[in-house]
Amino acid sequence: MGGVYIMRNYLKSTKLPVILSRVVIFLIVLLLLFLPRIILWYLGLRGFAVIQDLYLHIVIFCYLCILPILLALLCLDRLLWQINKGDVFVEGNITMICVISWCCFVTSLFAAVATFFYPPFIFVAIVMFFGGVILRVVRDVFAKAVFLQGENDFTI
Amino acid sequence: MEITMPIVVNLDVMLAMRKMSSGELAERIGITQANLSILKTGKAKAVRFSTLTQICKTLECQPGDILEYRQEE
Repeated sequence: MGGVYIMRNYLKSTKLPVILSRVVIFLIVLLLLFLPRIILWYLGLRGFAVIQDLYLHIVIFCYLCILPILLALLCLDRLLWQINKGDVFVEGNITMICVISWCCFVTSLFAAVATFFYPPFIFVAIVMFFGGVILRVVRDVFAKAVFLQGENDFTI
Repeated sequence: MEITMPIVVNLDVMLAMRKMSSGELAERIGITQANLSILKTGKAKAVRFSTLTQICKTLECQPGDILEYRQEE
């Protein structure tokens, strides 16, 4: 009985991230389409006068930040698909995690530069940088797991 | 880059002496033919004592009869 409960929870836990990542990809694609309007609305909400240069810089850097995030989400989707297939500790997954971490670092860099035009971007830069660092650690753990799996597979 | 192990598993000689096929040995010791093939072809990285015990029991031999150390050149 306990085994069934654990299995049901495990199945839920592998499907939920897949669903969530696809929902976020869809939302990001929508965001890409409506970003200039959203930024205009946001600047109006904050009571800023829409200075053309500032508005343009924010739009450009938002697009620059979103593109690596979209790539990271596509890699995450692929990674989750591989895990659902049963291929967890494989070289391909290490590559996916590496790509996701580099996407975080690139986004962090763009956000750091954007801070000069709009200071709140610094929070995005910090969060993405730490995300990238954590993913590098996860990548190293996966690499060790792949090695141990190989040792285990060839232990008769 | 494949690393060749200096420990060589000489199962073919003992199998020939006991007039037993690989498939039969695999079935008797409780491992798959694929795993036995990994052992025979030198791709194995480790052998459990339990597996070695079963092999020696089935082939009526000593570990030294099937395991050989060849110094790397």
